[in-house]
Amino acid sequence: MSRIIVSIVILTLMSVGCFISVKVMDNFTYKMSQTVSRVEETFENGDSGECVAAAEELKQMWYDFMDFSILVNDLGHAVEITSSVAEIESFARDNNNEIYAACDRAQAQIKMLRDTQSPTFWKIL
Amino acid sequence: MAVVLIRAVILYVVITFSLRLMGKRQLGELQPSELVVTILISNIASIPVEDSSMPMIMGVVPILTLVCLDVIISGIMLKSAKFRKLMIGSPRVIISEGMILQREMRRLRYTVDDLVEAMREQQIFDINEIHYAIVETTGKINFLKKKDFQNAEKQDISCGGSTENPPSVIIRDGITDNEQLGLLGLGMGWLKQQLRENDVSEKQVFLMVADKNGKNTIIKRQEGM
Repeated sequence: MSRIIVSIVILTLMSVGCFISVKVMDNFTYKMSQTVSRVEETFENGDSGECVAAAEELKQMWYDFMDFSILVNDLGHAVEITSSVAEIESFARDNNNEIYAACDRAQAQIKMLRDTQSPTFWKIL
Repeated sequence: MAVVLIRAVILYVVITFSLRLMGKRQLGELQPSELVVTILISNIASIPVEDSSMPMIMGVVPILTLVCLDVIISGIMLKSAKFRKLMIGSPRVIISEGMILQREMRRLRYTVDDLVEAMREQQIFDINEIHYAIVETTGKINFLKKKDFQNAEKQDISCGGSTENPPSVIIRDGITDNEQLGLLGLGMGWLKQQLRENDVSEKQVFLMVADKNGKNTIIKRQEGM
């Protein structure tokens, strides 16, 4: 009987943990998307100081998140995002127009990261 | 490389814990659901060890999920006969009163070769010796021989005698197993007396076995060991 109770407890804890991780990922990717949009907006407005600050904030956010890399089950994908985030910061400093393409790429990668973690019916299949 | 090493150690602990959680039955005989879990665990466990780009938790979560589900399902099977039948099926008779039930054998997809092989494994070489044959839920075939071919037992030849108690190890490598001593109902006083009579100390004993009647054997430790 104690084995069954231990199993139920472990299963419950893991289920809770897994669904919390989905929520954490959802919140984080939403915040990252917002920050990428802010980088684009400030660049468009010509506010380069604010743009660089937002790009640095974006990079720091991502690095902090990577401390909990267990939430990302595809390291290749994480490397791609790291690269995009670094590019955005670099383009922001150089005032380079390619920042638009880098931001769009980062947005797509972040969306994909969020999508891969959501347990939808089709994804489970 | 250090990551791989640490992961292997952690997964070893997780799998050992998992098998412990599944219980002793798991190690001896495998029901269909247990076989599935065992095969899946061995496959899942190897992935995070080999692929360091994958978080280890991706291996640990499915292993624990499978084991926990297996334990919970075993618990439900214990309570519900219907559920047990659904999950593991029921034993099937394929030879009844010496007659082979061919329809049942076909239903179970058992060939004559399977039957003959199982017979040979149990030292039966003539089909006429079999009274009943049952296919267990694990797939093993058990046979009941006809009375004429069964081995004679003590009661058949009216040779009585009380059931003997198997001896237990009470000292191994110089260390006394107090629990076994208690189970045998012998006590520390008895042990000390036996050691005194044999002129050995506890530390000098390599192995000591005894039964409930106090009949014992002492094997001394060899010199220099």
